[in-house]
Amino acid sequence: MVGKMYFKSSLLISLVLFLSAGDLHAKRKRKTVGDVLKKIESIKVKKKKNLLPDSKKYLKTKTRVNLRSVKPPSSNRFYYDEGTSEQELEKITDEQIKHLYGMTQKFKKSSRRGELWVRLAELYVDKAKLIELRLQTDYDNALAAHQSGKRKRRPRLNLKPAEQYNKKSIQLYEWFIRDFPKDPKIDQALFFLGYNYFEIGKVEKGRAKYTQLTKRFPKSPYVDESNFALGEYYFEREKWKPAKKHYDKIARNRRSRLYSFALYKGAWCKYKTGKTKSALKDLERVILEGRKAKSGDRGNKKVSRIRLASEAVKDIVVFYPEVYKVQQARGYLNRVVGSKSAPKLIEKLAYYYVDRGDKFSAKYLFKELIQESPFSTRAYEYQHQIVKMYSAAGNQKVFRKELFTWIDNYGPGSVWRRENKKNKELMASSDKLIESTLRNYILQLHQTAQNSRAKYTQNLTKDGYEMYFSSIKKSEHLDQMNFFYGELLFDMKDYVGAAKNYNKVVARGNKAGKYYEQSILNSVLASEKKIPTASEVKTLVADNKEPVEFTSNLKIFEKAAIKYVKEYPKGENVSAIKYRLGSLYYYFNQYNKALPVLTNIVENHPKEKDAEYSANLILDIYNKKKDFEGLEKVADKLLAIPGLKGSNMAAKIADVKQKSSFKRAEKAAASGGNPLKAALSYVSFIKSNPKSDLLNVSRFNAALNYEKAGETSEALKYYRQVLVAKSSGSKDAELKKKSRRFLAFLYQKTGQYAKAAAAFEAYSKKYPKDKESLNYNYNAAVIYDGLNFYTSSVRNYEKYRKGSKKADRNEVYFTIAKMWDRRKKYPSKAIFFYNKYLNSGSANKQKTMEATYRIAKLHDSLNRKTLSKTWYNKVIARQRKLGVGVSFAAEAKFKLVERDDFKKFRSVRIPASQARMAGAVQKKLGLLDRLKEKLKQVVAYNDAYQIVAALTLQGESLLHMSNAIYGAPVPKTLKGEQLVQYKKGIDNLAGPFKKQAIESLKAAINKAYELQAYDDSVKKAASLLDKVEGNTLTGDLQVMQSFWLSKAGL
Amino acid sequence: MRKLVLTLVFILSVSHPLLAKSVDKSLYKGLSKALATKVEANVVGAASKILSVDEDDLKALNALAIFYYESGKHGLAKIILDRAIKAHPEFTDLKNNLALVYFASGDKKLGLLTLKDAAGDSSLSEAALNLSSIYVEHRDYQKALGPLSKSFSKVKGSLKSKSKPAIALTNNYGVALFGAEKIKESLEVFTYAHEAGVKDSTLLYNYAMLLTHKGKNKEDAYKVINRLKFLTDDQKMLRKVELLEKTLDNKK
Repeated sequence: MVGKMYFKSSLLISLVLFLSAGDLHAKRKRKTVGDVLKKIESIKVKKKKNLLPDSKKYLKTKTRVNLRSVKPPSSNRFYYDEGTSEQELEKITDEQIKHLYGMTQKFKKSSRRGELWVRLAELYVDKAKLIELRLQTDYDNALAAHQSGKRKRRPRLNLKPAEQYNKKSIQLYEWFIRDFPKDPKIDQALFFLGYNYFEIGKVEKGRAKYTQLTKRFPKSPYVDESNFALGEYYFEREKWKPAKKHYDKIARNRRSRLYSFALYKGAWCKYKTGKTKSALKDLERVILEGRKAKSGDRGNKKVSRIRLASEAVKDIVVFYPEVYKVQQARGYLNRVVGSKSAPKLIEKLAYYYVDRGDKFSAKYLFKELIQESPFSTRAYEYQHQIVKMYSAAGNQKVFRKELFTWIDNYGPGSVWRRENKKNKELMASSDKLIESTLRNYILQLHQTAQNSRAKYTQNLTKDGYEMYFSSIKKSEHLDQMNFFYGELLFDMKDYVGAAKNYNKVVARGNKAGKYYEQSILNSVLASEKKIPTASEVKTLVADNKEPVEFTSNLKIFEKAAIKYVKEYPKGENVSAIKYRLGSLYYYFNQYNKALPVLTNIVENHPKEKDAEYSANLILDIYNKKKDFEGLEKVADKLLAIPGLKGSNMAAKIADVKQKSSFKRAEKAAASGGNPLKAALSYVSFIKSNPKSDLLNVSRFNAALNYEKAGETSEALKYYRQVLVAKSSGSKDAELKKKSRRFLAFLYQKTGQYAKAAAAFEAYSKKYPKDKESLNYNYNAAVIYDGLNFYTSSVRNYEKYRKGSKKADRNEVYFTIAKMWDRRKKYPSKAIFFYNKYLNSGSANKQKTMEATYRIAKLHDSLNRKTLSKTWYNKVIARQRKLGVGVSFAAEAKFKLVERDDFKKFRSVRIPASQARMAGAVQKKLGLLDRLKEKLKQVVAYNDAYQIVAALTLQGESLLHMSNAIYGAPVPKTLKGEQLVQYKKGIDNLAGPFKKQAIESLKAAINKAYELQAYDDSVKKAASLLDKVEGNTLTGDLQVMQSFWLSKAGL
Repeated sequence: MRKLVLTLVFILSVSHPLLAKSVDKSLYKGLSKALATKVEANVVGAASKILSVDEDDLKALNALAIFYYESGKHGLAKIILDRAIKAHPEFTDLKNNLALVYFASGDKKLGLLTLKDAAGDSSLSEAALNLSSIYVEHRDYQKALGPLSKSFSKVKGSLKSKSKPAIALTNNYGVALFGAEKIKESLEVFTYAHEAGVKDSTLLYNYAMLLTHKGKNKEDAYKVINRLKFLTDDQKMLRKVELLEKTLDNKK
């Protein structure tokens, strides 16, 4: 009973911890925290996806510019000399207007008023132009301020102040034409009317005035101006053909002031209409005119033409690519603009090709320029332009080639760099540009790699990073690059390489930097990837109970983790890393290292899930060490952490503590050395955890251990407590069942048989289907029988008999019969059950004999002569048949002889009548002989008691015979000698019987003493002998029957 | 009892205390006091305290058995004695008690066999003494004399304390001596008892008979007869005494 402990545990909070209820008794399915957590979890920190920084815009390929939308500069730019002060001019104009206005008022009725009007109208036009210029300038400035964010509202261009003057001018010119229709200045008036109408938006009126002018005054100097104005009108509206028509009219006249203008604008109209080659020719003419003007006299016309030529030179860059191949560019430009200016233009053309997206042509020209002067400061920029062109579009191989060429030729260690080393500013900027270009290229490539996850791209990116670090030794961006290289390698699963790069960031120690903390963390995460897997840990640690040294990779991780925790004790991921480290210490049995780390987690991050895991591991460490006292102490410490109060974890820890306490008790019990200590541990647990769900298990185990320790009364107490406790499940029910059973045996063991019987019966009643229940009914029946509780005994015997399927189940009939037999008051019941027993077909021969014999005896006692005779005969017959029960058969035989033969013999009286006397004696002698023969049969059974009984009965019979003869009435007729003779004859007849009687009685006594068959027969023999021999004194002495009980020293 | 025995075997085999504990003597005193009360609850309570410590405790089991024997609950007495004998097979006195249980249950044959087994070769034990009583009762005086003689020499000192067993033993010893025709020794035993102040009417009657029939001094017989007449109220005994007195009167 003892020896099997109930419960199983394992600390696990459910965790774990540790204890999970298991099978009843000692078959423990231990499951520790370690078992539960026996998978090596990776750090729960999810490695952040770090966005690559935006790469610089200049690395983007320029969007193709629709160069056909390009227009030449406004023609106004060519009207005014550079450096003119508009403000001064406007002031003078105002004064002139004031003066002339006064004149017009003064001479408003004069015939010369027309001239004053025209002059004032001209001034109004000038004034309007100046105002417009001012307003336009203000507007442009305001727009720039708006676009730069300095001004909130977008400006609006309001030219009304200028238009007021245009309108005044129109009024004056209209008056002039009305009043002086034949004045020679009518053409001028028409021109300015056209002009002013255009200015105020009355385009049709304006166009009509110009048309009127060109038709009425074809030779007027204002015709070219009108045509130019009309050309400009259409040009502005992108009506290239009508515009060209008006420009062409002017271009026919080489002497026209507007000749170069008209050519230039006409060239643009041709360009716009696809006649590029012709347009280019016109530009060449404009350039030629410019050259001529440059070498000629000074004047406004000359200046305008030179400026116009320089614009045309610029525009050649635009027109050229449409007409000629890049390879012809140098020759063409040398011819058109001269060898001195050509290189600059070639550079512009190269850039123009860049803008056009013509990488080949641009590269061709840049390469040409580089070849021309490989160590020039510009050469590095030209190669940069090539790199830029291919940076994000185009052939990536070409790009990388050009990029690397750029870095090789202009980067650190290059010849170019040596040649230009004195230009420190250039060196610095070139280093910066190379670094930024290379960096941005790599980061862009990395971005692509991140998006595509393509191995190829990853490898390209990796090459890029390698290039970067081999070229760039000093940069403020090294941290960034090492960090992202680490990220790339991490993605490529090169965790060692990744960790190295993260560690470089960390080693630079720029703690305020953007990448420092993340690098420390990622270094941890990368190094964590190389630590052993769960199965490897299993292999490494195996069944080792001692601390196992970390592998080299684990040491790297350990170092990184410690660094992170130290640097960022309040970092977002610190608890996860601590937990990882702590758990690894745990798995490698490095408990002394594990405990402070895990405890730190619980103390500082009580709300984290890791704290719960840590608490589990802490508790399990103690559990593994089987230091349950320590476990309970640490559980108390954990529970004292303020942040844990009221939490689920606290509840779990409390539960583990409780189970530990139980486990401690269990451990004490398992040691087997001191069951009392184990029992006391359970009792302590019971007292400390009055609401524990392990309470009943503890009570049960306390009871078991008390029992084992010999403290049976305490065992009984706790078994009883188990019984009365509220049931809470199947295990409880099982405990109760066992307790009930054990209680019964303990009651029996402690001599409390009445309680034992009651407990056995109660168990059977409670668990009728239990395989032991019937046996317990039997036990109860036996004890009740012993206590003379017959009804209870019979009830339990019957239950046993009815329930049992064993062959011997009917043996209880015999037992019940014996019970009734012993009680003596119920012989019929005894007979009934003996009969039932005999009819049950029992194979027990001895009991069969005894039952048969007892039935005979009981009938006999009830004076049922026939029945008793029948049953005595059955006894004899069955003995003969079964071969057992000699004593019963012998006694049965004797009883029959005594009852029938002896009685019959005694009943024969010897009459006084002499005639019948002889006959009677003869009959009696015959019966005596027969009796003796029967007694011989009794003796033949060789049963000591019945031998004595038979000899005694024989002696008694002989004595009776002797006495009967002696006691026979003496015939009254006999007297004297006859009487003497008679008496002598009687003596002769009776004497031998007496003698034989004495011999028989003595034989009976001797046989009894010899065989130690002490019963009433021997007493009877002695008594008869006393009478025969006249020795009454001995018989009269009274023997005191007193048995001595052994008190065993009590 | 088979089932019970089987189960007991199981219990004993697995739950025997690993650490034997000695029973505090006070518990035995408690048991003695409880036995004196003849109240079952007291006796069982006291015995269970001892058996809680040592389930095989001889004294407790035996006391419990004797209590049930004397209470007429022979079946339980037998169960307990069987248990005790199993635990202490060397202690033959338990068999003596078991034999008495058999006798009390009416099974004289088994009782006698058990008693003989208990007595063994010993002539100085309760079993030998009880066997002697049976011998005397059945007039097998020769067998009875040895044990009775040895026992008498041990108990005669306690006759003055009116110990009933000692008186019975003395009486039976006297009877056995007489039956074995050792008249003088028989008279000496009865005289010793008489002089020790034994007031048992049976013993005194036997003594009176011997003095009457075999004594040399009638006065001695009268003294005993008179004392007997004084001591007993039993009418049957008084009639027998009167007859004896007449016999004495008629004796020359």
